[in-house]
Parts: sequence; C-alpha cells; structure tokens
Amino acid sequence: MAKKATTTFVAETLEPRIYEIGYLLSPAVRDEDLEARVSELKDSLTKLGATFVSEGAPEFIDLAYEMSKIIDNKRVRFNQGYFGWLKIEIDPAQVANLKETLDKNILLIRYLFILAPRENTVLSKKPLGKILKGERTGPTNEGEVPQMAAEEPAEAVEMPADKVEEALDSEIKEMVKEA
Amino acid sequence: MSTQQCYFKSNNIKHIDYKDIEILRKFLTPTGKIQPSKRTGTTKKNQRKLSSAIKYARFMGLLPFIEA
Repeated sequence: MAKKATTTFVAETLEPRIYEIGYLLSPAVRDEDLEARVSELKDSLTKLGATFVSEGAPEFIDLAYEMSKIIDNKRVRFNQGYFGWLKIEIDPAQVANLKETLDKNILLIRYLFILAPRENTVLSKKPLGKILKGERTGPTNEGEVPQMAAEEPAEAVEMPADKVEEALDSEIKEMVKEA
Repeated sequence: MSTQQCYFKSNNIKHIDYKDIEILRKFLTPTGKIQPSKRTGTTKKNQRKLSSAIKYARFMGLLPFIEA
C-alpha cells in the first residue's frame, strides 16, 4: 500500500515578516540605564536574527490601570512604566524563541507582539509621554524596587512661613551691614 | 435619514494603530466602552480594526478598560 503524502506545515520555509513589539519597561529602571536596557533587549532580538525596521524610544507614562506581575514569587504592582516599541523583520520560525526570551526578561512588565505594516502608521505627532502625563511621583507602587525611590533634595522641604521670614530678615540685616 | 461618514475612510486611514490613543479615544464612551458603529458611522471592516486597536491599547495600559 502506497504511503499517503503528508502535508506538513514547515514554518522555516516562510519568508520573514514584519512584526511590532510594544513593551512596557519597569519604572525601576533608572533614566540613565534606560538606553542600556533597551540595547540589551535589542541585542537579544538580533541574536535571533531580527533586523530592525523602526523604533519608538521608551517614554515614561502613567498607566491607565494598575498592573501586576509576579517576580520571584512576589506580586509587584505597577502604576507607571516606560512604553516603547520596535518594528522588526524576523523569520516566523523564530517567533516562539523570541517570545521565550521576552518572557524571561524580568524588566518587562508586559509586551505586545503583533504583525504590522512596514511603514509608520502613527498619525498623532504628540508624544505618548505627554498625552499620558508621565511624571515620576515617587514610590507609590507596592513592593517597588528601592532604587526607584525619588531622591528629593533636602532644600525642597518647605519651611514654615515664620521661619522663612526670620531667615529673610537676618539675610537683609547682614546685607545692610556689609553695605 | 442622515448618512454618517466613516472617520477612517474620510481621512484615508488604512491602518489603525493602537498607539494613536488620541484617535482611539474618540470612539470610546465616557465610561470607556467601545462605541457601536451604528453611532460613529465606521464601516464594518474599520470597526473590527478599531476594536482590535483599542484592545491592544488597553492591554498595554494606554487606555482604560473602564473609566471611573
């Protein structure tokens, strides 16, 4: 009896496609480390054979709702994050590996992986950071990484009104004496 | 009977991006629900694209699921 011809789906034979990865980076990442973290993410993608078509720099935004992620058996809640996106061209056979690497990244709160057209489709010129008012408001998130603590200078602490007046008076007196 | 025009057709928008939250907000009710095409005049095809884009934006925390 002749063997039946099997039709198997071989993903490797498919042509590379354009995908978009939208990602939310943890607010625990410091501004100065942001570029390094993004380049680390990009390096992990290039290792899988991805080529970059375009990208949107991460912007600090206020999330529309509280998100939570379990990191080291601990539920961490997020109200803010860095939102950025990357458009890549990659072989569909590598998509499963790519998702695996993204899942392993602890700094990613969430990511969105979708098919996208090559050209830029964002119409609004206003940056997302401005629309969603991405301003650091200090460590409001439960279980937040200590690095995130907003370091306010000691000078920023408000003095009582009477003390301010006294200080001003003494300064004026000193100035008058010098003159 | 007045015929409403599809916003995306009249502005020649072929791809509805989930990052365009200013546009997407126009199609939400004050409570954050997606408005029906009957109300906004979007074509069936664009309504499907729009609802996907809104759902992507919600997932990424750019839009709320429900507005207080």
